[in-house]
Amino acid sequence: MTGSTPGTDSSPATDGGVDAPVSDADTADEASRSTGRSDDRRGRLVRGTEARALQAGAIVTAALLVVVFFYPVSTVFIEAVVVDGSPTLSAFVDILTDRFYLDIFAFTAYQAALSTVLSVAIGLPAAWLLARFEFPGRRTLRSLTILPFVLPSIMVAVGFVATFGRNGTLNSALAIVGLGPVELMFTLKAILIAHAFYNAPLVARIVTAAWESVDARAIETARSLGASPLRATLDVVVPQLMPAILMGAALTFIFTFASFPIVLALGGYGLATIEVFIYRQLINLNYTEAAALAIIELVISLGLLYGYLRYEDAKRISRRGVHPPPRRSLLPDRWTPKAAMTRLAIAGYAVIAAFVFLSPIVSMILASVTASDGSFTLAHYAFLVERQATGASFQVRPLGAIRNSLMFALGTLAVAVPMGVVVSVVTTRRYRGRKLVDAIAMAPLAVSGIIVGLGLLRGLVFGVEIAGWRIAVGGSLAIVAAHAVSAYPFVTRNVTPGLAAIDRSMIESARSLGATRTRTLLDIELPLVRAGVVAGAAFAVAISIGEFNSTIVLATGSGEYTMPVAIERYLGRRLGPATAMGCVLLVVTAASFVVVDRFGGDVEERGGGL
Amino acid sequence: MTTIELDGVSKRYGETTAIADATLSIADSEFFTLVGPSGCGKTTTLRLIAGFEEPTSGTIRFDGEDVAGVPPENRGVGVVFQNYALFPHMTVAENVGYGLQFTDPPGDLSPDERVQELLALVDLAGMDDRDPDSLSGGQQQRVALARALAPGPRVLLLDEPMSALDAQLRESLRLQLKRIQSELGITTVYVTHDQEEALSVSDRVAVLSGGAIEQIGTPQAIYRRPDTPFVARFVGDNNVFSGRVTVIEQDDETATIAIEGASIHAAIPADRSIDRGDTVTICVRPEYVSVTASEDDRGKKSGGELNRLTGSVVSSEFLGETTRVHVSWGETELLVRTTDPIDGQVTLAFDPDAVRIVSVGS
Amino acid sequence: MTNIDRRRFIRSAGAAGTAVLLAGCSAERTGNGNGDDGNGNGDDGGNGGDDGNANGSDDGTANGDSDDEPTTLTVGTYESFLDAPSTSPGEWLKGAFEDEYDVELVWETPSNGLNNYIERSNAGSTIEADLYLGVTTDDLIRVDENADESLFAAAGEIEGAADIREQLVFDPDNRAVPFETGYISLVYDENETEAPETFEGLLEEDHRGELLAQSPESQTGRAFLLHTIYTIGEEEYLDYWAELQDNDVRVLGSWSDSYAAYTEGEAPMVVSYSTDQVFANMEDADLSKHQIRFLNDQAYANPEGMARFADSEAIDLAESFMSFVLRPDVQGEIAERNVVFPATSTAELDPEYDEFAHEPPEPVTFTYDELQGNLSDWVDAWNRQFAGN
Repeated sequence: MTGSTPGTDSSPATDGGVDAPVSDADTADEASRSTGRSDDRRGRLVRGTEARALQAGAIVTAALLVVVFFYPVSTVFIEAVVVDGSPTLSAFVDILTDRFYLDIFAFTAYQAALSTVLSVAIGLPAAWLLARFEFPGRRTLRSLTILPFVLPSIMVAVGFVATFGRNGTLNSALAIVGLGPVELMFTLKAILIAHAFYNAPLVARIVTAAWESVDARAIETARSLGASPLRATLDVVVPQLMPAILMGAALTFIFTFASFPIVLALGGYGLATIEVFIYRQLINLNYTEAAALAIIELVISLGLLYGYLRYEDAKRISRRGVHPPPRRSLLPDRWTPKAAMTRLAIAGYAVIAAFVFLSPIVSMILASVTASDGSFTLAHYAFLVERQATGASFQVRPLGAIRNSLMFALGTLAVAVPMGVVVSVVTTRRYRGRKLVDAIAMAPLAVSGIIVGLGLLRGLVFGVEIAGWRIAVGGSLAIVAAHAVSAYPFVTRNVTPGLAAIDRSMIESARSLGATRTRTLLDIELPLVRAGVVAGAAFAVAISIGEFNSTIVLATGSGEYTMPVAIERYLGRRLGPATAMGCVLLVVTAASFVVVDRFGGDVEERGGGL
Repeated sequence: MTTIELDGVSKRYGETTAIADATLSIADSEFFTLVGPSGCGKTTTLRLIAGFEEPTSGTIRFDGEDVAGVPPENRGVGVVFQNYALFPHMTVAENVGYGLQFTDPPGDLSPDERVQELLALVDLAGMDDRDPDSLSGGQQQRVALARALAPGPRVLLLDEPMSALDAQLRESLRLQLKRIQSELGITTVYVTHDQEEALSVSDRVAVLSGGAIEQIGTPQAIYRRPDTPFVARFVGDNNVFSGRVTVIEQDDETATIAIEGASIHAAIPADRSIDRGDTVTICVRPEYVSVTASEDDRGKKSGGELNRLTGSVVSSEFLGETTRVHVSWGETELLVRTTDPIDGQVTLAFDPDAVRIVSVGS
Repeated sequence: MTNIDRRRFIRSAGAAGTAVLLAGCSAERTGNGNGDDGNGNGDDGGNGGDDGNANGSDDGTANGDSDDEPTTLTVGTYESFLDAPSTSPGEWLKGAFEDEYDVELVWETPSNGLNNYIERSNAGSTIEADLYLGVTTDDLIRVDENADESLFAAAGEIEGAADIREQLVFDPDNRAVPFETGYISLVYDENETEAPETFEGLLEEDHRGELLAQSPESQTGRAFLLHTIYTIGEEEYLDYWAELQDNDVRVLGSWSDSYAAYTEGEAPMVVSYSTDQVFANMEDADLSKHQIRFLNDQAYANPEGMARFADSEAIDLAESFMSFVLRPDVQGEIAERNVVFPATSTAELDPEYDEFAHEPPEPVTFTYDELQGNLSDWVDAWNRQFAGN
């Protein structure tokens, strides 16, 4: 990778020529007027290091991806095409001519499409509210939008039964107004709502960032040309939001396409998705079929993502500054009919959001303080304390889990953010096939977690034999690396649109003023896409804290368990201990999100993203 | 200070050629302008000089040294873009001072002093803490200029720096730019599509078209002695026609050219050889054509060696100082200047020496 | 190279920091290289630094390299044996065994259970565990179908093995020695429904939508499916399930999913363990909500065995451990702490435990021979029918 501008660049030496003849050419008598570049050795060393930092970053990123992702996954995928030592495509032929699997694929895509529509429908109003209104706690609320992302599916399932079940909150509420009951559990609807619970916040978060960087001047222009507010929104705002909306939609589709525990917990086996069968074949050690299914799943997901990336690339809008319109107050100054209608709509949305997002979480909190006879108890928290105090060395203790989760999240942040930025930089350069590279770099989003888990076991934990030595990888650093690989695509996806939109002349100005490519990235580009970086960082934390599959595989020592691992361990016949741990997870994660966002600074004041 | 040479420089993007085989040399302290319509390759040439892109072939030299592979940050260039490209997350002073992190300010100035010096130079003293967005377009452009100059670059590169500004502002900024340039004596490459701007500020001008250099010369030479039909048409108002050479005078100084059934006498430039039967393209600047009402002119028709054509006025545009008059003559239309709007039949007269032969073909 | 040296090498390789990644990794000589490196022991397999698991938790006590009798026994098992939120026997068993034998017992719970050892064996990677606790009949079939080399060794003469109840012995090759069993039955809430006496009864309109079951990938779900095949017949079970599906049986992913739904009152019957009341009693819960029903007076038995890994050097110690586990007092402790039933007929159980842990009048289970070659076909056919609609 060359370090120059996103323009076509035929010379790979562009960044290398640090010891340029130019600076040496300055003659003494003209020194006062000439460039006067700091020429001392140390300065050169710094500049030389800087000039190569991006290249080094790209190499390290690629190496990490190969070691922690592509190689391990390939050890599983190879099973699909090499059977009994000879190459074959028969597994694919078998699957693609099997009516049963075709139906399952069709249903999987169908429920993913519906989930996507629902997630966008619920996420967009949230984005509108968060981007366009001012109210107390708005920023905290925005920080917390991706909280659902980290909740283990079993916790969500418990919350959903409590909310939407036969005796749940919803039916109780409906009964009060003389309606219902509605039967949602074990239907497609329950799956869709749960998918919206996970993904609508994702859509909201991504679109909020885009909405906050909409150029208000364009709206004003449209208004001045006679467009009604609605028309101006449709003509000016929607096109600016479209890439973000479609990105949220594409990610939602990919995630729900590979959904599995939530489907089985809320829908049941009659509504099984393809991932259910990947899991089934995997644990029964039918690797050929499992790998073939996973590859087909991956191709579909990445194909979709590639389509989106091509679109995003074509839609890149050059943007220099960000001039968002001022936020409105949630309580209007004057109650005009229009203002009242708007607030009524917001209130209506709030009720829906409360049911979809809040109620399952509240149910979980209630479960953590409810005894089996329904009375209030702190016994479940007492269990956590007791396990902490008296647990054996091989048992999972809450504080250790919290500490590990936070350490891994911090490590993930430190690795995934630079990785994601580097990939963004590499894929916003202008060259043929850059979007293909981008799509392939997004593969960690689309390969099923259980396949990655098995790959890590085979490729890293068992080790590879090289020249008579068996090299094995495991433990904390490997966990951080695996988390970072899972997390960096979110950084990339949040940073790329903003980075692509930065006016090239801004970067070139900095370069011509003496900044290396790396300095330009740090001084100019990243500050301008800070909202995207912060959003990506929050996602990285969320992914790390919520990650389960790779963690349990790589936690080869007994002291590397995380909060989700603890929840799984404490899950017994009673829900109490696990839900108590779930609440701990909730609080710790919420706090980290707020810290990440606050640490990211007043993103709104300067520089937008996306 | 610094000379710039381009030697056979080409830049291709896949199938398309942005600039082909460009050779030119820019003298120390010269104000050199690249002018041409959009897509002519002028901006590419500037970007090649800046080091934002590397040429596909050819060599670029600063002070005789090949700069191939030298990244922009090490070339000592200051660049000003059309859209200012100010860093929106930095104040005016931070913008101007940005380059001083990497380069010691010229002289014994501290970075802060240098920033103040530059802000004063562009008449923006006291604007240090303003946000770029709060400035007017002209002010932003001056900040951009100050920022480019702050590290004391060897070369100043300006890419359409005025085109986003209104006419009046453009004129005053142009003057200011020219003053600063000559004060600093910095070698400057200026890119514009506006030929008038090019003529007014430059020491020399290169006219580009379709990726090729059409002509390099002083503004006066470009204006008065265009070498190609393109330059003739592009720079200033002009009347350009093609016709066949019917007569070559004995002294080889004048040719007679048949156009629209009339015969037009033209001086043969010293550097061109013309034969009878050649097809030539000629041009006459409107200001060299005198206009008289046809009735008044009767009787003078065959007098002297002036070319005389008769036509009818199509339209007159009163511009204050002059009036641009469009006159139809046969199938073509001529542009002339008068003091006041006129109409009706007119006779146009111009000296053979005012006729410039810009291309010859057989 | 001694172990210390090897560890030092690993550390220095890490310190060299050739790549950040390598810092969590280790290197070890493999294969036939042993003859060259002057390691007189000739065996690197005992501990291998390849994942630092045992070393990480027990300050690096070396085993395998010592010429004396091994002082460490590494036992692989499933997680809830060690770390259930209610009660689990792991800690007690470790303490009791260590006290008596003056050795160290190290637990190992790989994330994907027994599959981990199959993978490891096929990959030629070292297996550190000497013994696995918790092998089921299906596990054994999976091992035999997928492991390239024999993973487990046949058990020798185990003291106490004669006391094992005969119907629980499931390994014809005598590798897995049963040490406990569970029975899979219905648990129901008698305030909401009266569970049927028979499988046929589940098809009645009264019980529409009332049963929560699990996918065959979970232990209870698979046992329940096998139970229907056992009782209704290999030819007829699919028809039975079609009717069950018509009657809105809910097949969820895991036992946790379905038990959580049951607890929330989503349906009044759930496929679970016949020891359910033991937990209910522990929590002082209302027993009317935890009634046990043995369909057709039967329950599917799911015996678990312990088997020694073929590569283990600690043969005597492993067999001592097996004998220890089969001792009447230990059988009782394990059963009560794991909330299951002992494998031996001589186990000493607390009478109160007996009161709440229900054993079926007729335990049923498929033998290894009956399951082998059929299990995956049966489950596949069920899958295609149930999920294919």
